[in-house]
Amino acid sequence: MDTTKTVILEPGYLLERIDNEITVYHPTLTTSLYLNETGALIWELCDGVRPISEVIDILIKLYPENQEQIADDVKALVTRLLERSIAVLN
Amino acid sequence: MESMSEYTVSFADAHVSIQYDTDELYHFLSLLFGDVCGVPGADTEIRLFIALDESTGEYTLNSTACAPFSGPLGVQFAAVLFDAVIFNLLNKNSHGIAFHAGAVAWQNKVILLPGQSGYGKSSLTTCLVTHGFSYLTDELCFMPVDENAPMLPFTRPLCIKPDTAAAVSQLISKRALSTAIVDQDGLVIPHRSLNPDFLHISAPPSLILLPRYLAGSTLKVDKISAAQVCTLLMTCDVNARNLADHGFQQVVQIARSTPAYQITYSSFQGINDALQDLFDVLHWE
Repeated sequence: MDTTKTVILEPGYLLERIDNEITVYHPTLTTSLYLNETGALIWELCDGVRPISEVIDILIKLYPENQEQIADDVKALVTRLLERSIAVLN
Repeated sequence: MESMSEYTVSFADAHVSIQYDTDELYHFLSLLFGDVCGVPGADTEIRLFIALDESTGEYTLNSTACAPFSGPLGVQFAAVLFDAVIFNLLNKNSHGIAFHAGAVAWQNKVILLPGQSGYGKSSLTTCLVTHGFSYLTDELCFMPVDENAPMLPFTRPLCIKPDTAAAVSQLISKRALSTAIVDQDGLVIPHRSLNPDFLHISAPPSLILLPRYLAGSTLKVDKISAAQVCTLLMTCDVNARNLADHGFQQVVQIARSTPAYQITYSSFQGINDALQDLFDVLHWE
């Protein structure tokens, strides 16, 4: 995955934050997605401006004890978003 | 050829009329739809036609919304007819969400069992019925937007696929089985045989139990979060396209207000312990 790219979320999705987790539904794509607390944080950092590498850096500063895992988690979530057509890379 | 008669199925303010031509068909339709609760006498919009082909002895289902289907009055014919009727009942419904979900009741509390086809709704529903829960449906529950309006289970027979029919036959009473349609395509057990004292329960669900069949797994029950259950419920939303937000906000409300568990299983060995935990949850709700 090219981490210099930004994640652009497909417009029109519906989102509800419940207890630090997120449920997302896209009516046009008729796809739904659950994000746990970590996923919800990654989702919110993927604001269409920050490159993926910056999202990873921010999370490493917040959670240095999980440094090795964070890049994999971010890439895995972005891959899920791409697979479900909820996001594209720019 | 006998003259055509009409059988009306009403559910969630929609109505489907089935025109039929034999006494055998009347008994078949009564077995399938005789326990579905609806408002009689309302306007009928959709018509299905079933007629006997005397040259082959088979029946043919015709409608404007699906391809014709021909066959004997067995489990497969019942499945096709259920699909056609449910499709037409919900096709334009925009005043609530219909979930692919089983439902059972216990002491006037409803347990909703949502799941897409193949997730084990009917198997888990059967298991709960054989453990003292009252059968409501194994297929569909309608939750009106108006939260004061009652939840409506589509009170059809319990429909069991052939791969689990033998196991289910061991669990169901002989009296209920004697009223069932049984053939190589599975089992259709009339609602009234499973729940002869059926009373409509208007309470919203007290518990959501999501079945998840996983080959080789041991039975376990896990609490799941409101965000998880909301996400899973949206995959079971049958008439989403009719609703402005596909019912998302209504689903969020249901998920926020109802405790939910996922039951993973390959068999129901150990179900008694799991049920005890669920009874405890229902006591507290």
